Amino acid sequence: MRPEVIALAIVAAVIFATIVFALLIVGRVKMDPQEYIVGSRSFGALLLWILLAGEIYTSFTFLGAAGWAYGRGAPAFYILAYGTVAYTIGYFLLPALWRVGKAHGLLTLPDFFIVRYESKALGVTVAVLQFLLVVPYVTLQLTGLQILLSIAGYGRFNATVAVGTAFIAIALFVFTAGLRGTAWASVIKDTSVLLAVIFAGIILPIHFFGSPAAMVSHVLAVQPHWMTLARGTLPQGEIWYISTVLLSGIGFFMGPANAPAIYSARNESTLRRNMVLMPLYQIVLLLVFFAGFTALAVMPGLKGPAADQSFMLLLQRTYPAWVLGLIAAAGSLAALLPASALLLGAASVVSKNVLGDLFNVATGDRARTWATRALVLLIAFLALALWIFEKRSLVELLLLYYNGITQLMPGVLFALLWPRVSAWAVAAGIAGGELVALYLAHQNAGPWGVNPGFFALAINVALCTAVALAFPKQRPAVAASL
Amino acid sequence: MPARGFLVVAYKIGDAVNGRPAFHGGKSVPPLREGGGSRLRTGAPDDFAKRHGPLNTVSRRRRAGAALLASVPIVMLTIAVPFANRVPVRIGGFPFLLFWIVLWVLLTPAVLYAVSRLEDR
Repeated sequence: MRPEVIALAIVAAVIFATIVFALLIVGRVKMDPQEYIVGSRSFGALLLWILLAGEIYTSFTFLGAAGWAYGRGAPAFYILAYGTVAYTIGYFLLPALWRVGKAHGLLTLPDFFIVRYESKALGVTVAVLQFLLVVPYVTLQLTGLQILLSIAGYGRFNATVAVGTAFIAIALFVFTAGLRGTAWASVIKDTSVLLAVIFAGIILPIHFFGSPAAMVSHVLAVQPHWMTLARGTLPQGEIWYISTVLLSGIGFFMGPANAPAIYSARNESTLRRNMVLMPLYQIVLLLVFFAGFTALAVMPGLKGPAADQSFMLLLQRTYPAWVLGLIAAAGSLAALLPASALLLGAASVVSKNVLGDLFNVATGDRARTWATRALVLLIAFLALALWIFEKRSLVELLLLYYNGITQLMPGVLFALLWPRVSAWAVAAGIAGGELVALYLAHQNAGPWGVNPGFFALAINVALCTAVALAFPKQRPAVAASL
Repeated sequence: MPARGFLVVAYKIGDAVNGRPAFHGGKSVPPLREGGGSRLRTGAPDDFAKRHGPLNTVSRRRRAGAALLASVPIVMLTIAVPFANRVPVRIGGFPFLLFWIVLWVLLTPAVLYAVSRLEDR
């Protein structure tokens, strides 16, 4: 049989099996918004761990981290650090968010803004921002999927149709099974990604160099400064590293898929335990770096976005089709399942906060579930259309995502820490932060080597603080009690 | 002064974590009666207060200590990195920077576990 047929058949079989497995486990649960969007707040520590890991470790982790190790070297290390910073912040933040969510039956992050700041307008603003920013993130997953499927197809066919098919299949899956389905499907996704990464990060360096350490020595013999950051304010230097780790760590839980996952926890200690253990999962990224470095040592020369394909191309060259198929299947799940969680999150935000709160449409349980379902499919088609017409500049779009989404964090932190802050203060901060982020993203650099999004975040906090000091919220006792 | 400012922030983080109101004027909100209902409501200020009454018995000093301890890995993975970046040593064949980052990623669960023990006591 031809190799591309074997590899692609394995990918299709694994995706199909994952969907069937999750549908069987979820079974016929009665769907209302609380079940569909936040899994009835019933997930124990293990299922929550799988859901969180399933949402966080995406095809950017799988391909992008290796691509950065291949194409840029030390700046890639920021990916290892920012998740760890995020979990340390999350240890404190998540239980507080969960408590408010539980007490008020919240479904989304904009809901949190609405109850704390007593402003539907602010909630709708946050909802629209989350919705707009999630599109580039979904698009990124589609590009990751395209890379995997075209390599698994040995470059002999156009992957666009296959990407579209797989994506619509996963959208229909979320349509049916909701958040619980995503969580259970992540069991297979995480297991297979773990195996694939161990193969690519340990077996691959051993195959070519005898051990990962020998591989690293080989890379450093050719390029002595590859695993050292540039000094100070140089592009992607130390200042850039620090500000990027902080920015991404701070913005980590602000996406539309994160709040439902947090609310889905059974209790606070479930969340805390997860945050304690989650950094261990980051070691997966070290193995992904190894895969990227090995590809660099064996076949240097891929430039720009092509670096994302590095270790997959090496696998394609070195191993038989069935190995390539299994690893491409794991990667495809790493693209599809986070995309499914993002679709669900974005659809929930639109149905609850835009349709429900703004237009007063679909406010009943039954109507809201169906509105969310319809929106899952609609947003999937939108993302697919955007991806087909606008395939370029995805790195810019990803930067835009983190730069933009992190601007929501001051509003969340001030909600918990500073009673004086009003809806207007938060709105001023978000508006200023987003405008600066947009302007600097266009320039692609911040002052003094600082990550542009981090600079925008500083403006955001300054504006918010200034307005809060000038016009304090009228009834501080209300705000104080989160 | 900056040290004191940090301590105040640490207190507030501790308060938020333990379900206590962020303090305003040094007073905490008195516990209010429990109520039912789980629908999202707006403009009902008393809801906030009665849901999250003071539950903890942990001292402020201890909570501040917990927040301080948790900030250690963050500092080590950010501000300390330029220093690690300048150490020209290899550990087990790996550059010191990579070793340093991986070390603190692995130590973070231990630190957070210690934080949780500190809070639970």
